[in-house]
Amino acid sequence: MAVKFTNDVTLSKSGFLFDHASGQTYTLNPTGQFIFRLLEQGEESERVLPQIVAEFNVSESTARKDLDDFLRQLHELGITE
Amino acid sequence: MEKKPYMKPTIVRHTPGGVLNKFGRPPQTVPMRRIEGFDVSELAGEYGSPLFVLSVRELKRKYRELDRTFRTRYPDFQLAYSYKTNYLKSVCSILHQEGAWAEVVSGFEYDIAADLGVPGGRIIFNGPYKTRGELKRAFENGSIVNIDNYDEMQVIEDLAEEFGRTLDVGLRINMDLNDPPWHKFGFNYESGQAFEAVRRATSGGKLNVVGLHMHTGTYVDDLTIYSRGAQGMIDFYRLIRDNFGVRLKYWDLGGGFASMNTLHWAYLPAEQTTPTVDQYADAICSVLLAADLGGEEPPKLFIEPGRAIVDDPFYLITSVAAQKRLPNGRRAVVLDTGMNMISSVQWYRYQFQSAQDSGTTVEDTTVYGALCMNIDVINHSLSLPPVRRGELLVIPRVGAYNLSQSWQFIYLRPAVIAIDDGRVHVIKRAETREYVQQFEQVPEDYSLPREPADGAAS
Amino acid sequence: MNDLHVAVTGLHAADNPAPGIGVIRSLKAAGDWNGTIIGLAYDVYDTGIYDPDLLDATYLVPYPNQGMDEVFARLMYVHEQARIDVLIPTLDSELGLYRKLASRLREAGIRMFIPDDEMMRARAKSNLVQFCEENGIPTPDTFVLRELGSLDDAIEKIGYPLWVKGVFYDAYLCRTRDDVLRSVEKLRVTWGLPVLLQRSISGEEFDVCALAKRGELVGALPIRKTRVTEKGKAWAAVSLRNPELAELSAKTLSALGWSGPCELEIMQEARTKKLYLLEINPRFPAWIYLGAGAEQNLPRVLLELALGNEVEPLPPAKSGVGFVRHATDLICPLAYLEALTVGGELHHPGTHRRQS
Repeated sequence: MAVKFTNDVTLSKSGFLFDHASGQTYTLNPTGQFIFRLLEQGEESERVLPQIVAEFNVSESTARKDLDDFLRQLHELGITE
Repeated sequence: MEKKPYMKPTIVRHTPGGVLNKFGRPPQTVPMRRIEGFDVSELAGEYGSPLFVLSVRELKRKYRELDRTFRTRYPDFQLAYSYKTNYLKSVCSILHQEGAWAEVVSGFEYDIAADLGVPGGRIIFNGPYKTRGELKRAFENGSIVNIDNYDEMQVIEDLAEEFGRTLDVGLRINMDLNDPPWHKFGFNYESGQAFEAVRRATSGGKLNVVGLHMHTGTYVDDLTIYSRGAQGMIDFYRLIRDNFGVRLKYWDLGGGFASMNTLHWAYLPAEQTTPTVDQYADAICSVLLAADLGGEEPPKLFIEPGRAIVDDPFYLITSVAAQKRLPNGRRAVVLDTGMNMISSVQWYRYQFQSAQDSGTTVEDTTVYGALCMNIDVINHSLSLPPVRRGELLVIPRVGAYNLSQSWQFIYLRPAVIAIDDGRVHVIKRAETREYVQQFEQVPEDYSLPREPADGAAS
Repeated sequence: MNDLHVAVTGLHAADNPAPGIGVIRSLKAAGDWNGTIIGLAYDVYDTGIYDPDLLDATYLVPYPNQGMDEVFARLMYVHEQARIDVLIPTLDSELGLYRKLASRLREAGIRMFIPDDEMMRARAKSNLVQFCEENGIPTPDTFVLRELGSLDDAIEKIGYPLWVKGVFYDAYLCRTRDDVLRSVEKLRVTWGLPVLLQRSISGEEFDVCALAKRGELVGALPIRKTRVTEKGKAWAAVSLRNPELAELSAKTLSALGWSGPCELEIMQEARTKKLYLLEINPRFPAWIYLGAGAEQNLPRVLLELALGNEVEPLPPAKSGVGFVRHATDLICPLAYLEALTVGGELHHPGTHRRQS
């Protein structure tokens, strides 16, 4: 399922995220940016995991746990619905 | 194609003062993978987590620095290690090998020193409560005893009678040096109590006052407290020498030196406020050596540090039990150990770091201990990189008071290992439930019926 | 002053302005200025960063309480990138740290002109009473509260109204025990103990900004605050010619053997006309830019002292020159925030290159 963003957000090349509706800003590390870009493009969250494993030097089990944490955090921060 | 290096994905919300601190790389993001060459995860793998680790080299270095600094300034000097700060037998024994005397404050501690083989003449017995039996043993062994109160003085006079000889004693005195002043130990100087105590001790004909002892406080970073204390000691000595003919063999300035841990209520970190060993030594020795004692050789100088020696050489390896998000968006981490093992969290703002390289993104985190008690918080605000369950953290500088004041509660207490020149020694095994409950017994009347072994209850 | 690179801290000028901005404007107001200003900021919202005419580059640095080695490593990074010839720390809470780093910085080629530990200790708020007593300098009755248990003793000794002061910053005028409790708690949480309780003297408030070398005054700028904020900070003032203030300043700094800049806070009791020394802040005040108009540009002179050059004492300040502080809103581009948040540094598109 594609993730739905709560507000209009802009992620810059440097990993600086601006939420246009709330004015809140965030920083994402490179892995976080990689995932965020995929979600932004409408990628379904289930399809993100294989792409992380393909891109980075990481085991699937670690990546799955971390992705789960990250998606939950986006939700808890109110960035995604 | 080579894959990119992986870091746990993070997003950090910008809060005032929250994010920018990463520039200059805060210490929390510099991983502490090794303690003196030993891989932290291997140590934890072999000896378990949590785990206390003593660096013997650092312990010796701390001792030698203090000893040398004072010895080069004061001709007749002796360091007595304050047992109460950490009386693991190996710690005490190493320090005695290095030349330390023992400073003990209870019969329990006295026995530890005696059993280790410390000669009685190298044990200083302080503390506000000493039993008659303990005092008797101390005098028989030729230990130094510093009297805390009149009740104790009376017991010692009785002992002198029993022995049929006069006994050499020291007197604990206190002065109005701190705010609030430490009046608990010994006799007060300003109010004239101390003067009266010497009069009383010398007039009975059974005691011979040969020493003065003063313990000015704990974690004292104000050098003037030591220099004023030393001056007070000199003035008081002159007074009792002139009035009662007292001749001192020693004066003892106690301990109380601060360590590199930062107190909760201090704004600046300890590295900026804790005086160096040189400064402590100068504050005390320059005053004592300038004393005009009318040609008399200055008495032997004792100091009794503990924290300043044992705090730094101990590390606590602990692992992450869980991560959670608090309702206000803050990150929280739960450890596998609690404040029962590092009770100094009540005073110290412990800074600690991950044993893994977790990147430079940090987030302000509340660190909870493992106890099922709401007050068990290890750090209310620590900048930590992302961590996972099972990842190891290292809390440095945990040697003073934590082990001697630890209490067993809902978990068993961990092992303590010493690393020394490439070798590992277990100096205290991890507790077992049998050990903890060995003195308990359940009377027959209270015993529960045992279910049949085949688990027939269905 | 050819191509001197000067790094300055204390860039936040909100309700309680830090002195960095005034120091930088003073340097730039000197006729012979032809250097580069490097701002050392603690927060991406330090206001000075957004003043288009102030800085050539801004670097975020770790807070002093994050540890000496961390601050030093960051400064070395900045030094490598932008070169620092002279560093002017302007915040009280930084000075202990910079004092400890002084020799390492000097070895790296970064010079400062700040008081040493001994001087810092003697003028510390908690030691000032003793210093004043020993040197015959009048100061109001003060109680150094190191432990909350002695609060009532302190109140009884000082009497209302009284000032409750933090060891580094902030002071509250209190008239009831509840006021005192609240203020002590607020200060304790922010700045730690001790907290000071001081007798309130009603009268006229004066300030002297001074620069001294080994106890000798090099320059002094006395002012009377003509308008103050709720916190007692000047928002308008006028420069003075006042021999009594000059004498008290000279006596104090001589007794301290002072080397460095400082701000002396002095009260003249209305009833007795007697002068009381309230505080010695070991850095320039936020209103230091007034000196540029009153022929007493002390930051400019400090550069010479930092570089080890001989300096003649300045003639007295021109009296009757005033200043008003004027708050204004600056446009804050998101790109600035982003550059500082993500990269920790900002190379300002503006000032230096435009001038050269």
